[in-house]
Amino acid sequence: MEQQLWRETEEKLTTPTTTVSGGERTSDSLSLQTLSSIHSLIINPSTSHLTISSILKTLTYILSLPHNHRHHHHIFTLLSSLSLHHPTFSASLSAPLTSLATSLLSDPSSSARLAAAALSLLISISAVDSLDEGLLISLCFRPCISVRVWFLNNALKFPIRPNLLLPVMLGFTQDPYPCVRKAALEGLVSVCDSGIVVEDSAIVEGCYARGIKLLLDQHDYVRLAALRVVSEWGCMLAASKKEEEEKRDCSDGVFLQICSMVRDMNVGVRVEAFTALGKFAYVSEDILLQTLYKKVKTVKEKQSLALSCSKSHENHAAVAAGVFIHGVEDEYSEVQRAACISLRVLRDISGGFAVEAVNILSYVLNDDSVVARLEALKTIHHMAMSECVMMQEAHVDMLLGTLVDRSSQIRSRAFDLLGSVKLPSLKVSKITVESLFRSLDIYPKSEAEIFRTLFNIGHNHGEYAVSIIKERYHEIEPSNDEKSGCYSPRIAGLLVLAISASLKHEKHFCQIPSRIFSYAAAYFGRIAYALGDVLDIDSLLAYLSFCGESHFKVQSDIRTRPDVLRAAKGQQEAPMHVLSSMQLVLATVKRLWQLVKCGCTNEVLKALRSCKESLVAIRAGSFAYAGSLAFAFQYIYVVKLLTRVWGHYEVSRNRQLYQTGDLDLLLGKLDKAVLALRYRFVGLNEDVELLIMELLLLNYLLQLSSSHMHCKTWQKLSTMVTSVCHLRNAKSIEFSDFVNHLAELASNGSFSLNSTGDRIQLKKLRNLFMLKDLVLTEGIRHINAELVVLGFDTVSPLRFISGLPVSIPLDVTLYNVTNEHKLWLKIALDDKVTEFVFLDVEEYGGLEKASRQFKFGVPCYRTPKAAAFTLRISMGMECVSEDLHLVRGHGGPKHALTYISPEIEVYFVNMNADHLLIC
Amino acid sequence: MGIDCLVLGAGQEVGKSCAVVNINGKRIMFDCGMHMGDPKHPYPDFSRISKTGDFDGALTCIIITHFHLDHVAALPYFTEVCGFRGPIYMTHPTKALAPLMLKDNLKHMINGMGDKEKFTSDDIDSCMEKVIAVDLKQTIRVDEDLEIRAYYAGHVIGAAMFYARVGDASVLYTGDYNMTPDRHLGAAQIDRLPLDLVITESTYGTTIRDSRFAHESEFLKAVHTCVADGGKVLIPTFALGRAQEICILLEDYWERRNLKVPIYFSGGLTIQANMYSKMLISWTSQKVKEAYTNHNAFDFKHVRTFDRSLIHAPGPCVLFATPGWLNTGFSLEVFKQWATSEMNLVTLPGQCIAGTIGQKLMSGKPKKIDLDPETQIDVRCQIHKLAFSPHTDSKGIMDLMKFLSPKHVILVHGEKPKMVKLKGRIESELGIPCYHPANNETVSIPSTHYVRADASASFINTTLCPNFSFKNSASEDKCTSELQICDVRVSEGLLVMQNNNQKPNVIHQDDWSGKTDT
Repeated sequence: MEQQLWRETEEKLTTPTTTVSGGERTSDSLSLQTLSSIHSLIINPSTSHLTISSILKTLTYILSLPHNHRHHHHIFTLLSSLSLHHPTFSASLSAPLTSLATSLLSDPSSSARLAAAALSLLISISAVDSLDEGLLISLCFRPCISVRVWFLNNALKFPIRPNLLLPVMLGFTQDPYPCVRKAALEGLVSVCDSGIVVEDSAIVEGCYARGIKLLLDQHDYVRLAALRVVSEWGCMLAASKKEEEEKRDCSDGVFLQICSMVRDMNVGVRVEAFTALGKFAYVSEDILLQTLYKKVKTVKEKQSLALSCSKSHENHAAVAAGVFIHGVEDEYSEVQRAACISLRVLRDISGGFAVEAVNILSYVLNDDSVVARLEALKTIHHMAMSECVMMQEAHVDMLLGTLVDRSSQIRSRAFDLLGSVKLPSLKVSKITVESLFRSLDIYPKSEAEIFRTLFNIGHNHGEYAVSIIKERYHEIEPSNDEKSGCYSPRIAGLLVLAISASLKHEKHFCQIPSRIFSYAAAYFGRIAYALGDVLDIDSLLAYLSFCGESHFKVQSDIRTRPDVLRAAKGQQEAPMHVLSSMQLVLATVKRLWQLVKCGCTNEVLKALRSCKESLVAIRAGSFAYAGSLAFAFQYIYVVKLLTRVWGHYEVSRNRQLYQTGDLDLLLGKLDKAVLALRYRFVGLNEDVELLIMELLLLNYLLQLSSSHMHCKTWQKLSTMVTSVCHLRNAKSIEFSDFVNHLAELASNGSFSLNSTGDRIQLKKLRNLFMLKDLVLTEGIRHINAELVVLGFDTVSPLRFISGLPVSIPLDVTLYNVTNEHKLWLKIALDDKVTEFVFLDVEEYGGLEKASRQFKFGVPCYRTPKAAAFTLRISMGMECVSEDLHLVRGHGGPKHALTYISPEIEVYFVNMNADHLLIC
Repeated sequence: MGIDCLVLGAGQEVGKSCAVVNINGKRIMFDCGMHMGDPKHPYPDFSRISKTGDFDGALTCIIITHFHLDHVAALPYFTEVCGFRGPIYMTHPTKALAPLMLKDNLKHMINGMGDKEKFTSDDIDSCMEKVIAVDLKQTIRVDEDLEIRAYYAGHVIGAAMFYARVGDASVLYTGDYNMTPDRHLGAAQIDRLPLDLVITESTYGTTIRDSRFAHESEFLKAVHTCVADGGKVLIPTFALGRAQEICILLEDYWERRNLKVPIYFSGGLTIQANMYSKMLISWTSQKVKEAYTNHNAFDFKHVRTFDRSLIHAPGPCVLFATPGWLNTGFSLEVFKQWATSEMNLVTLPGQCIAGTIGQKLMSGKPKKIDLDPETQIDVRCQIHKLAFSPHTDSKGIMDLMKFLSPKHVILVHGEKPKMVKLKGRIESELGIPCYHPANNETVSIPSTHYVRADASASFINTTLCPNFSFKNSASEDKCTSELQICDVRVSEGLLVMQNNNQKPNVIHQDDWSGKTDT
């Protein structure tokens, strides 16, 4: 196919349509169709080498014909795609092409464009080395402008000595055509960039001088190119000077030349000028400082050579005057950005310059462009980091405004900056902290960043931090009358400040009230999240719990700072601090109860959430105290429910916001939660048991206060009161006012089922309730179970036959369950049909170990007449003391159940309903 | 042939800008303003243009740079009363806003004016009908020889510099301009043109202003402190220009700092002006234009209309009220109420006309101000002077002159001593001849004049190809030498004027040897 096509094409080429003089083939036969046939042959990857070489031969032959150059452009295109697709043929191309190019170049009457096309092809196959440089240069002396521009743009690719090339380029910088001038100037820059060292100082001076001259060109793009020439060749000129002083003078001179261009009307030129200003390694300080003032400074007696030696020093100063002010004030953010970047580079040259530059940059923070603000902040940050700049009060004032900026990028930068700069005074530090808090109020999402900033501020300015904490200590202390005493991100922020200050210096540690550390442990969750990158969380927790504990134990002035923070990460043994940290969190919970009574429901709920977060963070540190931790979680859950119930009573007193159903729902949850607290934990000490009893009493009391009266509740309450009284009398334990009062009422008979309607009495009782200090021990174990249905997942359900019983293969893992516990599996088909299956643990070899895993087939007898159904299975444990027969006569559990496993769902599909499975 | 510039107004003074420039026989009037502080001679002396009153024959066209009264207010008088019928050019925003300003001015027209010098609201309308609106960088051919082009000037919305060219002579009339951008307008923007003459304003001929950011920060800080302490801020401004700039500044600050304090605008003209600004987005600064797709900067979120009852309302607020000089109107009314409290703040514009309360407040801080024999205001409030200005400073003038490098400069719109100093700087630093004519003086300068000539074939042939000449020139003060390579193809030509034929001819120097009959 391919060969046939080529034969046909070749035939067309050999049988010319026009008259052939002397029987020679001419390219007149090259119609568009022929050309495209050849092209498709070339680009087709399956064309054979033989055909390609034949095509190559034909094409080079046509090129070699002396007079007709009409189709040479097309042939060059074809050859260029040939060399691209078949690089192996490039070598055979170079010889004929070189000779053709030489003949085109040496014949002044030939087309310059054709010569350029030939050269371009030679460049693409990298075969220009054998060309004569004189001939090459002669090409740009032809009248064709576009060829001249092309040649200047590609001049470096040809083997021309710089000594010859540079004068040519220099000459063309004065061409009447601006595009040629531009190409020549760009050529000069690329010579500089290519690393060619020009030793002839006359040429360097010439190029530099020509650049300066063309800075006044009428065309923007010529000025832009000239600016680059001045910058590059100016640097080369300065480097070529031998004397140090000369070098400096020269560098100053170049700097001033570029300064003169920053007021150009073209944006590109201005951007280029500011970029060029940032490339200087040396500039006299006088000139640099002048760039920051629009007013020309009076000439000092002793000043740099560049200004004083010159006849028109004022002129020079005027050129530099206010250059950077114009830059940062510019209408275009590109220019502002370039100016800021240059300022950043130039700060290395002179310390005094950096100080003044910050003045200007701090103003830019008020600009309306985000790019400019961000760039200015970055520059200030760099300057602050280089430690040559001390932030002034006025600067900080401007910086603080960016803390509440709309753009999160700018806020982040400002946080970083404030964390790293040196603040000048206590006053400024105070304002800074306050501004950070204001930002925290407006943008709660930035909490972690703000905490990190506060941590850094505390770290860098320990003394200021201590003063601030002392001043704001009242905010941290929870108070009864003010909502502000409750948890807020602000308090957590202050705690972060305290932590960082105390870590830095022992003396600061002693100055900070130790109570703060116990609070900090309570807000550990948030703090840990924010400082996770800076500190080892385990060690921080240990540190806090240690500091916080000392508060409980001794209140002495002489405290020693623990060294625990240095502990290595990933310690193996169970860290002791986990327990004490939990203790601190629970102490916070206790403190919150006061606020519950004040009616600050929302605030307390938030605070409880943060306590829970802290517990989560603690759990991340250790598994050894899983039982205690689970107890703490459950306890917080109970308190949370109590808070909501309380809030309900507080609110419903004034407004009917809640439905009564809501309260019942809450009370139901509370009941379950307290029961779980009572029965799911073993190894509790007496105090904790008593507290749980109190909670149970409160739970019953609250149920009585609700709109629905229950005889059962009343019975439970009176039984509980009796047992508590018994306990009190037997062990002579000090009880709380709440229990005492309740017992008193019960004993003298004034509190009976009939009188419970007395809401005032109930309320009085309720208000007597207080949370107590909880002392958790490591012996607490959590009764828990895990259920997994074997061979089941959401895509492959279990099968059943309607009416016949099925067995559910369960994998059961029990934790801390003993033989005394009675376990039931509850299988619920829907709300109405529930089966209970007793799990005889002794059958499985008893439960002597803390955890045990076994398989158990649960029977389900009542399978419905349906195509598919779902069962919900959970494991419950009988609460032995709750001796009320809830389910009678069906052989089910005799006592109330508390569920020790999460509920799992199992899907069943009827054996006869296969179509349901195919989907 | 040359350029003659007759300065009819704003010569060595500020007010009634008007310059008649004769370029190669074409006469253009740039600006036609009125002097607001000189009721005896409010208008330029038009009789100097034409003694007979045939203005149509004497003037080719009128060009108005912007809508300020000292640049436009005499136009209705000149067209409707004096009877000029020729074309008038101004930019689109100027055409839209000038009638607003002119009609507003009618109310305050100086009483001392004779009847002949007055014009009516209808005159303004019929005058505006004759105006041809132009766009920036749009080249307009006024007639066969004269072409004009407008360039962005900053200053106020719609302000333009005008370039005029007749044959080879060209002139730039800058009008008022600003070389640094502000919150709503960009900096002046012009190409580097070959110019014979630049007529530039020189309001701040000797002042060098500090960074704009510094002024803004001071102002914002003053306002923020005041409202944070619960005080009220009164900003007396004129409806157009400064009001929009300050409002954008405040709006942006309010937005960034999440402030909720209300900002009020009083008076219909200001609100109308805001509406116009909103429509004229393409005439604002680059940043406003860039942000426009998301949010129109003149769509003020925090700004509300002020109601008189709010004067005594408690709580902080910011109020923009007209006029800016506190001489009369609503701003004075509010000032009377608010000036008595230390918590409040009053800002004052950069310049106030003598005799106004604004001017009294500017010159030191008086404790009491006598409004009239019966009323005395106890001034306790804080005063903040605004340093914003829409005019370029002397550095800006120098920068522009350096960039344009014209052959001659004429200074107008400034005070004489400042002009003298600036003239000295332009002549010494830039080496450009500079003039500062007084009113009714004429400056004549020569203009470039090109001669058409034939060129010989050999000359054309040689100019097609570059021809380099090398020379190593040693610079005077240093011992270093620099390589100079010049293209000398044109210098090989000779201009030949033959006796029998007046048409000049350019030939190549090689051709010269054969000629004997010249």
